[in-house]
Amino acid sequence: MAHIDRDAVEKISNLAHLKLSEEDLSTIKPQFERILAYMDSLQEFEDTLPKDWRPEFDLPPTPEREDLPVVSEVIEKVLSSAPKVVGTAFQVPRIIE
Amino acid sequence: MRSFDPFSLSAQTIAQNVNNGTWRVEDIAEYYLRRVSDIQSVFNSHVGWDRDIAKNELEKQIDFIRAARLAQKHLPLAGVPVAIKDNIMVEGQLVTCGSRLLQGHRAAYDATVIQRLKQAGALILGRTNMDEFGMGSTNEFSVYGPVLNPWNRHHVSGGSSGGSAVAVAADFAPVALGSDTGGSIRQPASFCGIWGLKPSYGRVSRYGLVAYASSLDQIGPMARSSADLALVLSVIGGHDPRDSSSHRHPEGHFPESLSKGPKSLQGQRIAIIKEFMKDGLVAEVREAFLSALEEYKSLGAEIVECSLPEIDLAIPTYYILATAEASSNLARFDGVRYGQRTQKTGVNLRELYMLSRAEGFGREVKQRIMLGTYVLSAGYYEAYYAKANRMRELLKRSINNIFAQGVSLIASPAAPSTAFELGQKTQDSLSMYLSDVYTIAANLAGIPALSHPIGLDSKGLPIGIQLMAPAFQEENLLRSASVYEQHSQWNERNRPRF
Repeated sequence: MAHIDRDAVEKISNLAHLKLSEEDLSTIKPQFERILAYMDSLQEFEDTLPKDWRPEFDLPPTPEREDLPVVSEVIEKVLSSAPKVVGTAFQVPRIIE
Repeated sequence: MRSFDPFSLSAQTIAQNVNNGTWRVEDIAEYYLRRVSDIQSVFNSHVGWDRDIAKNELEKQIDFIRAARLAQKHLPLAGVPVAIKDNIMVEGQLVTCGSRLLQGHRAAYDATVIQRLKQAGALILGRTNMDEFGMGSTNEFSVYGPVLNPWNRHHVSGGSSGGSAVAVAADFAPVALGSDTGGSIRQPASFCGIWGLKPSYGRVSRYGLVAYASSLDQIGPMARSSADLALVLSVIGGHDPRDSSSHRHPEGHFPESLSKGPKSLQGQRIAIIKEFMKDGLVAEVREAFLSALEEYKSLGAEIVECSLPEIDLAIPTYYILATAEASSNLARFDGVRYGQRTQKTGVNLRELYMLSRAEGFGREVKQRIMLGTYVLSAGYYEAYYAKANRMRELLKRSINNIFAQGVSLIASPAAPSTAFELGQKTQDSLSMYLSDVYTIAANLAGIPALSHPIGLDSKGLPIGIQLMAPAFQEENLLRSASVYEQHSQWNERNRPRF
């Protein structure tokens, strides 16, 4: 089992785009360790599937639909829930500094 | 206004009486508007409830039902109020998934299930509280606070569809919609003494459902009888081209199979999984479960014991896959595409994402996103995510093998215990995850499963049984349970007293 120290939890929170508070860190770290230790029980099972098996092998085929044009009239409704709007567009934060 | 006997108000009865003109849809709407307004706050079952807004929203639908009546058009759910979980889109209404992050977010369109309910004459009445983004088994992880169990308000409703379960148990609507990723319909149904059905994966469209774990999520009905489950499933089920996971399976005739099907269980073979009867199952639940099985046996079913050794690894498998999918699905909630944006100024783009998400998500959601990020990260992907996928396939094959041996249903308790006390599990996530032991297998295998009440424990809290069937065999699942229902001492007149 991978050892989960504070640095590891902070690294995962960065990857997950979550800025954790001190309180979050101290609550989540011990929970995280217990859960991962439990998840490690999965390492024990006897895997009888062929090595080259992939989940997509057993998926049912995706039903296809006719390629027909559909008029969408939801622009205003979608914009009504956008965090910020300019005209008919989502306003996003400046990314070039 | 006409006075209604709440015990008579099944969805079937309402639709029948509205269709034949005995009852007026306005009176039904008024009765439920008043009932929800008077009592829902006691249990915290609804979110953003406002009687006047709810009434206005019903006006157009009431006109539609009246017009259908004048045209003598039969509507299968004419005038039937349906409570909707807060993660299913109803055009123009707030959809917040029990999260601070989505406060103020309005749905731009109707989910397919909502469109179908409206076309069938249903009244969309109230949005129900839930664990944030469906992540929880107690309905305590909601920005709106916990939902209380109507049988005992010191106990949880179960989750994550706790508000929908309470809405039905407390007569705020005869039926409700929930969503079920690992038991979120069946477990709260069991805790609240009602019926809940998770349909086969692909039976009901998820278009308009806010995704938690896309390979596991299903929308399903909650009600007080098998007949009402069947009625709602017949309306919301069926292929939807807008959901690529929706099957082109022939639509079922669920209400007809209940009313016209055999009235005994002769020829039905019900399996119990011996690994389910081990440690962790509370004695009173075990006794009630075995006694319900005796009743199934007395109605003609054959009871057999089977082994499913893979089930011991179902919980780690489930939580690896569900959190991995959640970490991906919830990436869109970043304060730019969706969700409230942090008010902090002078931050760069990455900080803006991180702060918006940290301020918006609750602790359990953050924890599950991080678990999912971890199991998908380079170095751990093969050990966790890839392995869990392989384990899922083995479990699925073993369950299919049991059905291939002539077993028509697999039975288990719906949960290892009755409803927990409030706060009992919130500080220990693993202990809460372990309580999902009986329900997650059906999600992993994509098969239908229902839970129904079988009695009360010594504290007066409901106990439920779960039945699972092969994929797309909801007709036999519902019919078998309805045979039990007709002969059982527990029926839809059992109600919590509050």
